[in-house]
Amino acid sequence: MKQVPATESKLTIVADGNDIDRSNLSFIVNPYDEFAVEEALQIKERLGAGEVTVLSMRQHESQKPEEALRTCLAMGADKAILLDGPAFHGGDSFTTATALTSAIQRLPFDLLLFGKQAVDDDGGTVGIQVAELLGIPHVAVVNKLEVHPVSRAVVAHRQVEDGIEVVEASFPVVITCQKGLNEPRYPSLPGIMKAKQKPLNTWTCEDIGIDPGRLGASGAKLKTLRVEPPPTRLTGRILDGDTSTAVKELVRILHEEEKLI
Amino acid sequence: MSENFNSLDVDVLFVGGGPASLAGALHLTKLVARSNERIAAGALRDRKLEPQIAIIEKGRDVGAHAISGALFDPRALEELMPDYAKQEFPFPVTATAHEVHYLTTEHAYQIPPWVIPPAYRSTGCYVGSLQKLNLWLAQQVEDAGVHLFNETCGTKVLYDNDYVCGVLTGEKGLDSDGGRKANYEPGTRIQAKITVFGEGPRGTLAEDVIHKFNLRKGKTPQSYALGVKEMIRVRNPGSPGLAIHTLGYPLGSRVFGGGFCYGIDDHLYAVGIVCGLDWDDPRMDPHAQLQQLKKHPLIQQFIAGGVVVAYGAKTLPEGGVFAIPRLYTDGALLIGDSAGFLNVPYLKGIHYAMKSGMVAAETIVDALHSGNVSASALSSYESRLEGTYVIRDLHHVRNFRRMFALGFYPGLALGGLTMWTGLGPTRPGRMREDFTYLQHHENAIAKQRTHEPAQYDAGVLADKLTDVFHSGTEHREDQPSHIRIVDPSRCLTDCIPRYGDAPCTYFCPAKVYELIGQGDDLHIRVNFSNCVHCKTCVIKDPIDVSEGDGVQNIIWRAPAEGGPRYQGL
Repeated sequence: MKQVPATESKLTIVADGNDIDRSNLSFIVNPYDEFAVEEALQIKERLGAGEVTVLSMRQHESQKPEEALRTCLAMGADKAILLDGPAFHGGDSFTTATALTSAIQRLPFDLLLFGKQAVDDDGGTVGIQVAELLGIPHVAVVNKLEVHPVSRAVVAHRQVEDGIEVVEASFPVVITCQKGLNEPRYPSLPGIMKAKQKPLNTWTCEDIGIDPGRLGASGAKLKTLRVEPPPTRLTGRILDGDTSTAVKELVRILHEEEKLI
Repeated sequence: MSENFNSLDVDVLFVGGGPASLAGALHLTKLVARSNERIAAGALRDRKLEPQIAIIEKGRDVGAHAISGALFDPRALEELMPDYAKQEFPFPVTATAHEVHYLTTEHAYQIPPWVIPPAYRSTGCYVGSLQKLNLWLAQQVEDAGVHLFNETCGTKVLYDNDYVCGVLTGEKGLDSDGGRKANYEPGTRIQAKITVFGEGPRGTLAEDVIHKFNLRKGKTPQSYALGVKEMIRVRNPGSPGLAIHTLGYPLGSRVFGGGFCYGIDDHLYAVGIVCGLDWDDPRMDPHAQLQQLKKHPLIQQFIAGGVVVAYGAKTLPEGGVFAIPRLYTDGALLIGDSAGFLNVPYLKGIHYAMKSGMVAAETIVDALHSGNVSASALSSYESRLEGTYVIRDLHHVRNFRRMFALGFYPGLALGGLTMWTGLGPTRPGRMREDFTYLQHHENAIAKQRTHEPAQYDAGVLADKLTDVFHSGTEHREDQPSHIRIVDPSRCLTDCIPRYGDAPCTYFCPAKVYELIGQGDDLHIRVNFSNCVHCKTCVIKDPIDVSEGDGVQNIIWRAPAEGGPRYQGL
């Protein structure tokens, strides 16, 4: 689960031009990761068994992933783990996947659920890379999921062009979650109270036995050269009058002022 | 309605996570700790207190719905946290120069500083963001063990035998018709021994309590102003610590109010305008007035070439000491702007709001010890407050605002005199509710002035919808509308003939109301998802559908989800 800037945030770029200014942002649980948490909770509720652990990593000092993890615990997750320490800062999707893989190898699991992508950098590869590093199958961009505990397998539905692809895979498996999979629940007030008592553990790179050199900027395969804002959109104009007058005026503007037609 | 609620029991519930509640809750934890220490030391014979204290806040985080100028007088904070400056306090800048200018269309005339009594000068106050102050206070409050519930909106006051005993929070996951979606979450009955309403101006639940227990008996109606504000980022070096207030242009003498321009940091200005809602002009548009102000040379010298990066709007209570309702009833107290402690000539209210919460906390500790939460036990809140600078200051300026009923210029002269002397009647005069100023004009069309069509550009002059975007406001498009027009036909039979237009499409600073269609299809469309929760519509709506019972045609209920996401306002 990744904590990302709130979707309505207005982003500005830092002075050296290779990152966004994170100092005044408010953060939320990545919306696609909410689908993953909700799906995990629903599977647990349907089966009446199992445990839901939420894993996150602090990639920037300004992030407050503890808050996002508490939100997941308030939704109903059983425990939360935060990978924290300067070694985890910076880096790219590969170092994130490397760190998560080392942590996941210390946990028992049958099913790993990820959001299909984080809405901040829209990379969309962390879940798939973790599957690769663990040597287990993955099904990406899933919008319906059946879990069969007896046969230890999942049947996952993916929206593809002109239809639905149905994929079967056996445990342990990585699923990345797409919109439409479910409607994430709201944390209830009693849920928020209970979440305060649930375990939220912090793991450093020593705890997960990984060399800090493989993480952060030194382990990254990608380097951000520059971040640029999208071009500013000019203010729109509303043309007065009935349809025929407005259309005539529109044609005139496109022809004479904008020289587009 | 579902009977299947969650439930939660606490001892003290603060409704609304603004400066009043945050300071109140924090002070309460300190008073409890102090009292427990004295009990442990044998200095006090009583049982130890371990109260569960909760704050509910409808914004997505504390501060998301908080907006102010803000010039902040740290007086109450100094009492609350004497070492606040060492705690990463979020206001790095103090006002180095406080200037008041009278504006004409082209010129600015600075009012000599000696005209303003020393106690009303803002030099030395902090310049900054209420949103950041609240967020910072919220951290202290949570660290002190208070339960803080964001995105939790009180929708109903719970009563038990005419005692206030908590609030019901809003149901989430409803569709536009009120049906339950897959992720429906019922509301929670939060039961509390003492419920403290700090919902801000014209709080929905606070007004319910005020109405039910007739707490405005013998008081004047509350009168309000609307403040609209933009944050403007400039490339050139800014002027941190600049604090300018303006009178005159663009409001002229017909609207009580004025503008402000504060230097927030090296490249950021806060520019805003505050307009008393007792205007009589049906086409008065505070957002357009702000754009006019920004075009004035005095303001242009600071913001030219800049871009708007944030926007917000909020009403503020200007009724003064005579409009403060009785502040207590069985099981409940009123604090902050829900009660109305704004000092109009000083242009400040945050520290009074905080102090009111802190004084409430003193009464609450006594009530928790005695177990008595009746109105008579809680009445000490009001008498305590009368002994503080909150009521003393407001009493001093009690006649300032009402002098403006004599006209703007006599008001300025006489109001200024009352600031120096504190003289004038000690009893309330006759005041009317703000909406009647539109309503009672027999010939309101004659009152209309011609307004220049507002001019916008892609830079520093922003149109209303662009500014709505800058407020970060969002409501799910498929959630039930929190704004309802009781009788839409009255818009056409009352407003259009009387004003030749729909005043709501002008006074709303977020373009919630739009007059669309033609002929038989003419109607008001309610774009509730634009709403920034300022409350202007329920204060200014001129149509009384109950014929004198105070029920207006626009009903605004706090939505269980959504609202602005203010950053740095």
